Amino acid sequence: MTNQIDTPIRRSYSEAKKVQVFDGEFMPHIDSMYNFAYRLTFDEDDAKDLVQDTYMKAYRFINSFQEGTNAKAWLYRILKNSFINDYRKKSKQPAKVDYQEVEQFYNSEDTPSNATVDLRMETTKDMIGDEISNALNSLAVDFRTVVILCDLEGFTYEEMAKILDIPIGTVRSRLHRARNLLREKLGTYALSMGYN
Amino acid sequence: MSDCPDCSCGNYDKCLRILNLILDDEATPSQEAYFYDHIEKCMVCFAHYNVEMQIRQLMKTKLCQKMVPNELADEIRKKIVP
Repeated sequence: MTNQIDTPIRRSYSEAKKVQVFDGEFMPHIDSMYNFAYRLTFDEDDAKDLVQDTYMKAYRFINSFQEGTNAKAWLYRILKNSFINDYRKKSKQPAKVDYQEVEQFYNSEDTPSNATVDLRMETTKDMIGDEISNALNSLAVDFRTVVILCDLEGFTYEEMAKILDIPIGTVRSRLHRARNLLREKLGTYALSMGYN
Repeated sequence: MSDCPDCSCGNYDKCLRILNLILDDEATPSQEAYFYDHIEKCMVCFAHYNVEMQIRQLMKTKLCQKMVPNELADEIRKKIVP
């Protein structure tokens, strides 16, 4: 699929055509946009506002959108930028460390891997879905975002790089680090589900 | 680069990187061939592979989807077509 993010070209849709494109290409993604927004903000009202802002921006810039291209990736990019610019500042979450530095450290060839699976850990068969959410939500937003985009929404590395405006290498290292953290939190349960 | 704790092949870090690529459907055929051959001999990497698959499965099946508020789509539409 052609990627809209690559080549923004201005078109001139009629008002009726704008609404048709909006309804046909943007609105079908409202479920996943709302869930993405909620997993970023942890707040239903903020998620709603963020989705509204995203759709308003998408409509305002609809002449930059070509029908049949990757509307979902474009909307995700707008939402992510809106979150960073407008919502992250007022986030209730405590300030986070600079994960670019963490990424560079973990990306280094010299970094020893300590990501071993501890098969001795006790199994916890009664873990529920909330704990999966808690594990995901406990990740810093940059790590949480790549997991959501990759594992829940199925974007490719290339699409994620464009949505997040980061190199593919950074997508890879961010995912690698996020998964090490998730494995620390969920590894025991995963083992109990199918590997013991 | 570190040795694999199980088979001491010296490619442990490489295996972990390829494992992520495989599970994300981003590995090349030669990377896939290398990895699947490797996990037949290496219990540690085989265990990693299984745990990572289970975690992805958990993420897909156990995470509850939030219901979009009924009024949200209407509110958005009213703003673009007053």
